Amino acid sequence: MATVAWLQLRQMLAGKKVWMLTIFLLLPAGLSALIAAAGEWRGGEEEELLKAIYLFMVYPQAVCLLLALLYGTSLLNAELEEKTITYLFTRPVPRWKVFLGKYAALVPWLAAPSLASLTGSWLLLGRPGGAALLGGMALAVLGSVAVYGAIFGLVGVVFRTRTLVIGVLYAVIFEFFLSFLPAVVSALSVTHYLRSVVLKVTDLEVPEEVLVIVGNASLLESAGVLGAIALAAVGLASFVCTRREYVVAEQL
Amino acid sequence: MPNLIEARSLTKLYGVVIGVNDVTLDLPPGVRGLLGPNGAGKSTFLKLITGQLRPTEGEVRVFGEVPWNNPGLFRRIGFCPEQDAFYDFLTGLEFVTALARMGGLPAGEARRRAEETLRRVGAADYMNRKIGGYSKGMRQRTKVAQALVHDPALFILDEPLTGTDPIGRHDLIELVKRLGAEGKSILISSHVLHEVQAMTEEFLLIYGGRVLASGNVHEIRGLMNEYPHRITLRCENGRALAHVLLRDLPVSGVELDEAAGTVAVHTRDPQGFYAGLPDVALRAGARIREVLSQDDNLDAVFRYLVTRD
Repeated sequence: MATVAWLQLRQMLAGKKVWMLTIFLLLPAGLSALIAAAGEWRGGEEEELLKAIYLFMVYPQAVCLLLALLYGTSLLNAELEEKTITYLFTRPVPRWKVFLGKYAALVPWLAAPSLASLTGSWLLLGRPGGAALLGGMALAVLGSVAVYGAIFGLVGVVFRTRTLVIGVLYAVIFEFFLSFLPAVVSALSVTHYLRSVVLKVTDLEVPEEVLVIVGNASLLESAGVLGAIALAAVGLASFVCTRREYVVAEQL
Repeated sequence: MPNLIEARSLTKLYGVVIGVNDVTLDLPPGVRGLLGPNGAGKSTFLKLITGQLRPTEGEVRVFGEVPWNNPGLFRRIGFCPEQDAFYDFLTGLEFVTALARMGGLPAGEARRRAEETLRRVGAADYMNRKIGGYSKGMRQRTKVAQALVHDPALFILDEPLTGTDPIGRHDLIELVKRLGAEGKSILISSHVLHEVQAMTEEFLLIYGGRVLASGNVHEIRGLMNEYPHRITLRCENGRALAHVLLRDLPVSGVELDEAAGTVAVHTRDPQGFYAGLPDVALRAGARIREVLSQDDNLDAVFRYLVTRD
């Protein structure tokens, strides 16, 4: 499995998407610099909340999700397109381990630069919320890449074509539309629990009526739900991967 | 001696397209060519025995085990696929070492074996260069090395000589012969008879997803000789040539097209025909400019074998 992870890391490092990853992570840092330079910031709780919302919406909810979408959906499909899947599936390694190895490489690959960019933005914005906010955001970033990586990995395994379209549809419906609806509906989204993590780790003051929408799950509940979603998605993807035939078309 | 591969009513369908059709066979260990024209079902058969595909009906066993979802079996199988696909960003050594690691070898041993195998296939000189910069021949050798690195008991090559240069072909043929002499079982798929004939005399003929025949090269050649070959001669004085051909050579029919300047000949003994052609042409005073043997390919021969049955 470690060899599969190593291969996957080398593949991602050599891939064309590495430029997209760089741009995706430099852009928000640049935007943060612009915000820091342009605004007249005086400090205070409201300002901290605003900056926290900005950091959350940019990193765990947008950048991490998009990167997970780009890389997750192509975990196996890239091997199929490059026709290298034959090498992986004719070795004494169970297919579920192949998928797991790839997923294990994906999480640190996305998390490390995302955390670096997040830290850069946080510093540029004048360290809002102190270390607690950075810690909360970092946890949300880790949760985001782990859970979205698993979900989009599953999408890539289940659907052979239009995986990006399906991934975008999922993101728009669940992670943007539903996540802003009140009551239980919001709890159907991953974002709900990521927001809860940030709120529970930090001491941000959020009005009670807003908490219903934003997310008010306990840290344990959020971690449990996020972990369960990631596990279920990885497990299901591994199962499908084991049961499905992967045919390089011209080789029939 | 237990069979290497056993198939019982093995069938693979891709929707309504037949990949392999009701194949029942017992293949003993040894070196064997899997021969058939493009689209005959060779690659599907190989994918079934390497567990990449699941049979739609029937069963296949390799070393007595079902290959589908049986990764443990791949310790004993080395598969060299047809497609020219690689991790171009790796060096040849990194590529073969990684696949050796996946084959269950510890890191140090995997690297040592990878170097040894790359040397064996003649790829040592460039094994530290990125595969992306390799020529077709270099890539082919590296692909063979990855299939051999874990020392499998069964070595499967899918169209291994496609695109190789003469030296590469020679080396690969010699390698297969050596491995065969060492007691390895080898299955080589190809659509070119004389290529595989250089490596083995034992064949399995496959066409339309069916195994038509198996046996040694002499039996196969015999089958092929039953097929009426059509040979077209582009020549001057075709009428005189046609007359002498019918009289003096093993020819079953002649079609004369004076406008096109061609004589099409039907014969069941192409070797006898070719041997006698120069003398006959001299006698007829016909200057032959071109000899075309359109049916001298497996597809035509196999079609004939199917309709003959």
